[in-house]
Amino acid sequence: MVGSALKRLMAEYKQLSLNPPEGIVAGPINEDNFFEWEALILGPEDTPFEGGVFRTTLNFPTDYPMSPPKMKFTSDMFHPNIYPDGRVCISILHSPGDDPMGYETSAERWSPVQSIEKILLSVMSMLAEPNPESGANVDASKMWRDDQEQFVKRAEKLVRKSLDL
Amino acid sequence: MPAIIIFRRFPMPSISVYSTASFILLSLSILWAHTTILEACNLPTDKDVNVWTYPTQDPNASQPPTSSVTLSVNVFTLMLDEPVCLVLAVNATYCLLAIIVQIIQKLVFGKLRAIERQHMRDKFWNFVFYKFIFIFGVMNVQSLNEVIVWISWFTAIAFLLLLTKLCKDRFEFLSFSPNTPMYYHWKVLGLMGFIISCCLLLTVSCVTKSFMFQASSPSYSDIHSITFMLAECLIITVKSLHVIIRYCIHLYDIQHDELWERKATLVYHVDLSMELLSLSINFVHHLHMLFSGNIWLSMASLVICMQLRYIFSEIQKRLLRHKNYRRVVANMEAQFPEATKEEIEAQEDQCAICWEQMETARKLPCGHFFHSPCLRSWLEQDTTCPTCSIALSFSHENKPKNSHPAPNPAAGARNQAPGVVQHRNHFWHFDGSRFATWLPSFSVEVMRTTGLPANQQPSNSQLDTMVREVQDIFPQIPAQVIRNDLQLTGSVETTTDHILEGQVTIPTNPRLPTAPPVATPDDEHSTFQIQTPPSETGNRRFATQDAASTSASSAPPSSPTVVGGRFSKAPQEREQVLQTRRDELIRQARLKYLSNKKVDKPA
Repeated sequence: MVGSALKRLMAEYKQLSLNPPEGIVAGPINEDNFFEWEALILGPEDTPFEGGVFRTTLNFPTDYPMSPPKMKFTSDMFHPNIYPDGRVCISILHSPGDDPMGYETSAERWSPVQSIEKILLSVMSMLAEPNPESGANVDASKMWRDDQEQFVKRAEKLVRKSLDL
Repeated sequence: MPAIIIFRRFPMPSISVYSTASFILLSLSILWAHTTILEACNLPTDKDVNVWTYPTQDPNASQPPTSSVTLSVNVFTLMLDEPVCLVLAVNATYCLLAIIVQIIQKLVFGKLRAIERQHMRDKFWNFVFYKFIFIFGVMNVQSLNEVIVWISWFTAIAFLLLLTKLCKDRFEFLSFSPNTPMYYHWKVLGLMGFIISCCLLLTVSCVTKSFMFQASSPSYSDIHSITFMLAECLIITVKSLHVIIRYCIHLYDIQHDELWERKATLVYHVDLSMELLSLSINFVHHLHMLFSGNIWLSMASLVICMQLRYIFSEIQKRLLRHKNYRRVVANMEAQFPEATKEEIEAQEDQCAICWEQMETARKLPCGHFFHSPCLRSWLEQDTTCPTCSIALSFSHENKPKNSHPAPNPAAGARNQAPGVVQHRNHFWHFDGSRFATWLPSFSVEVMRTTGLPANQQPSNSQLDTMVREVQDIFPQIPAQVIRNDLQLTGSVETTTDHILEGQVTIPTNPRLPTAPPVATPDDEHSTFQIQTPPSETGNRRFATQDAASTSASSAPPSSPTVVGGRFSKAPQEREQVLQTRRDELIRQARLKYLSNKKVDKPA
């Protein structure tokens, strides 16, 4: 149902513009297609990713909000819960039916009352607190567990890269 | 398919080269025919050349044809008889068609998107493959003329089919944006009107042709061909009609701002009927193909059987989905009553699924309200409450039958409502002694406990401990807010997640963290047992919530990253504002990063 999805996306866009959460800027890449968004996420303070501005794209299905969007980092990332190709592994983006990691309860899954804002805030907190149990990037999980210092250095590089510095 | 890859690599001539070449070839062939006829007329004694003139002509054809009409008729008939000329003429017709397609594409669609081109290519080759099988496998066509007639028929069909597909793709794309100018829509809709009138014209001509055949000579092969053609026409007509109806519904919807609740049902039923209609026509068409010719035990029959199997499974899938839909609707109507006006007004909230105002709504046993089309769409794929993800028992087969005959559905629903969280326990007993004396006897009991039992709220002391646990993590959040959320979730982890995800302090969706102000009559006992007197709690809760929300909303202005806070009606302005906000975020982040570096370095 493209019509209702479009109305809902418009409403969310409006809300994210009028009342933006701190460190998040999100909107359609092009007004000709409201089903593809770009979101900038500021790395949360006091975390390895502090200060970086990370680019992500969100691809919405035509039956949104019945199905969750697909989210992908376009900036380079090195994080236990982000696949090397940028896809984000986070429970809020999974429909109640599928459970790739087999440990999530349906309470934290996608449901139509979730929103883009909630997704982005969850991703922000994921950046702050990686969950090495649901490892999407094995190397990153391992480094996060065993060698925090190295991980921080790696993140620092990514932060600088994300700012084009 | 490798053939397609080779074809793609093959340097295709541009349309202008192709059209020039075919035009030159056509004029050459006309010139040749013209001179041949003139020569034939000038040399009436030469019998060999005279053969070229058409037999139905005047017996006095030996005179030079003076009128230009007879001359052109002669040229035309001569060209029809000469295979090379015929092929050239057909080629020129294709060239003309290609030019028309180009013009339509320029006028209506502009540049095609990559996905549209991909769809066109796939559909085209698919079509070529199946029609090749049809012409040579099913119809078993032998003569060149027949082949040309069939090919030109399928060209017309392919032309309409591809344009329909293109319109459909474009319609979907245009409906992705609210800012599409109206004349785009009218252009596509106009083209659809043209397509459907062509389809109807073809259909009508097929029908009249078939009557003519019946009147004159009932030759079986002719009747079969006409039926095949009719089926193809009908399929395209149904497809294009489907696109047009969907388009009209969409246009009506975007022109009327208020919520159109019945739209979802309407669209669903249009989709269902149109898809089933076209699938069943297709099915019958393929069956007809299989049984009409003597094609048993041939490659063609194999291909048709595969196609039949595919169509059949599509129909089956569609019907299964419809069954699910019917079940969901029946269950929803039986179990979740329509909320009364007062309840909706007391709620003063939007539907959390579509974010639109609620005029009518359905009430879930957990006290959450949704539009019924929104709720239905969700229940089709999942049977939990979207807000609190409490499991809604969904009886599979028996319930709707039992609940429908109830004279008063509301009363029936009321009786079922409290039992919505049913813990279906399975008890299984194995009595080994029935089979052999040495086999043991044992029983297994499976108890189903959902994570969020609504009518089994944690007791007061338990709740207090949980509140303390959460407050250790988030000291800044008032205990009452945590308590309210805990009452809903019943688990420390989930509440913690709610707080982390911002669901608790975000003021835009206050329904999630707080217990619903209007508890359902059935739930009242269980909920209020735990709460302190309701009026007081309510006030306090809202007070604390307000405090929390003001503290949350006062934070952003102090942060340097938030710019904007405006939502323009004009798309360009919106894009600009978004771009400046992006740039600003990056700029601020850079400044901050550099200043931090400066602080770090001296240290």
